[in-house]
Amino acid sequence: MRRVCITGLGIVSPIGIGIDAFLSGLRSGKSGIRAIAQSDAGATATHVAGQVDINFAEHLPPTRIPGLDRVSLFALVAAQQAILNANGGSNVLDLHNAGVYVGTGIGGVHSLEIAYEEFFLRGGARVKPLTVVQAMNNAAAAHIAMTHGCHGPVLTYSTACSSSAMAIGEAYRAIKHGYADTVIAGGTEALLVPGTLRAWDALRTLALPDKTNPAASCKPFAKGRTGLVLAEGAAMLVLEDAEQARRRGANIIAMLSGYGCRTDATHLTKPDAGGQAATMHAALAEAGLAPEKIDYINAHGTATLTGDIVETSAIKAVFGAHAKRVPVTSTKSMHGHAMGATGAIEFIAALLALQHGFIPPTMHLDEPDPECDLDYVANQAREGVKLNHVLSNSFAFGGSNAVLIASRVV
Amino acid sequence: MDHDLQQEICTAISAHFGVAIEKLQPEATMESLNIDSLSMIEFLFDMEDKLGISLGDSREPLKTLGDVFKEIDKAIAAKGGAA
Repeated sequence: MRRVCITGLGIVSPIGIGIDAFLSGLRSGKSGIRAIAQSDAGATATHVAGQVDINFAEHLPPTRIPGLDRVSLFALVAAQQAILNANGGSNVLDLHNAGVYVGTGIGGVHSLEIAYEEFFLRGGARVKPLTVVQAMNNAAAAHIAMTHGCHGPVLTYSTACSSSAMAIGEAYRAIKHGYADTVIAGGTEALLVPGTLRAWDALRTLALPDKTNPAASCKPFAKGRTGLVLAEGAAMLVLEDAEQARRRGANIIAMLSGYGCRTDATHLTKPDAGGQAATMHAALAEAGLAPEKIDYINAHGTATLTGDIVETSAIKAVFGAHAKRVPVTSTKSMHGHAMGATGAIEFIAALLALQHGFIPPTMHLDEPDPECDLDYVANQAREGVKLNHVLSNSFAFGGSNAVLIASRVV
Repeated sequence: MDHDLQQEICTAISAHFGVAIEKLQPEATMESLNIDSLSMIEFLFDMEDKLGISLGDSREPLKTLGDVFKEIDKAIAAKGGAA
């Protein structure tokens, strides 16, 4: 059986664009969350969200930008960074037969909202001709493939909050079982538009803005948490057959050692500890690791009232006594919940922890919920730790769970 | 087509697609100008706004720049006067 390694990382996030900025944000506990005002149909609502400040012209050729939704532009920037990173070795990565596996929750919703606004609000008789091809869910993956000449499988996964973790996991399997040698895998999301924010509002799961500090509105595992904070961004990885990577002298960041993919099949939105535990068990089994070998868990940790308790209980069920020893953190406290991109963003956070020997903090955790009683590394990164295996949880509406495990190169 | 309007359209095409204006002759094919059909549809959408016309529902392929001029002429005539 082939082994799969990670040789390139790229990221566009509310706490930084590019791996260096993201890493520095994780270490310093930076928040990318702020108050944003959005208006629709004459009404204005204030939300908090993890918005990305980006001028695409600084990252992409000017001819590449027109006609693309924000979701595809994010993906292109992250993929370009990851490919550049993977080319750090002695031989340039040949992408001709590479696959592209991208997760996204709702694709090009900016383009759809512009079209609906024109048609329904302004009484326009027509909508922009590129609306369909900008909004379609597989546009981001197709643009990466066209830009970099990738002729392998180009697939899009849409399983809400676990979309990009699924995409990475499925890419891992494609390489492991010989269907591809190289895959650009990750996720992208750009959903901060009025209609989508209102729809999320209606679910009553969004965090209320923190009255004194909007940047501290996402409070995973805290007693005073009020819900999740939506965010946007993209994260891409270059996955390779380990032999190929060694042959071409690539800089191997980590091994992708396990992937669990299971479904609750109980409720559309209510998380299930049994399903989550089974998914972590599946990933550990594939990695061939006992639970005690895991040194850090990047939690799904959305900061919803139910979600954090259920995940805590699932971790206890899987890790037993080790659950109290292993650091469990939610980096969503800093970058927010980027839905289809969040699994990839958090897997990169876990990879950087592994690579640089630190535990990213759970920010805004002054008083933990009594039912959340693990070591969440509150408010300050823990430096100087040696990690061998890290695990990243992604649990989605629809009950679609994905767990990824990465291991130090030995 | 009115000469000034043709110049205006050619200037807009040149700016939008980055094609040298002297190549924009009526007999020039879209293929030779490296303009794909999707991009041309998007361009014409903007021209409809700019000229205040509606290009209608024709499904005839626009093979040459001359075809584009004819489509615009038809839309101007349908509107009932110069744009």
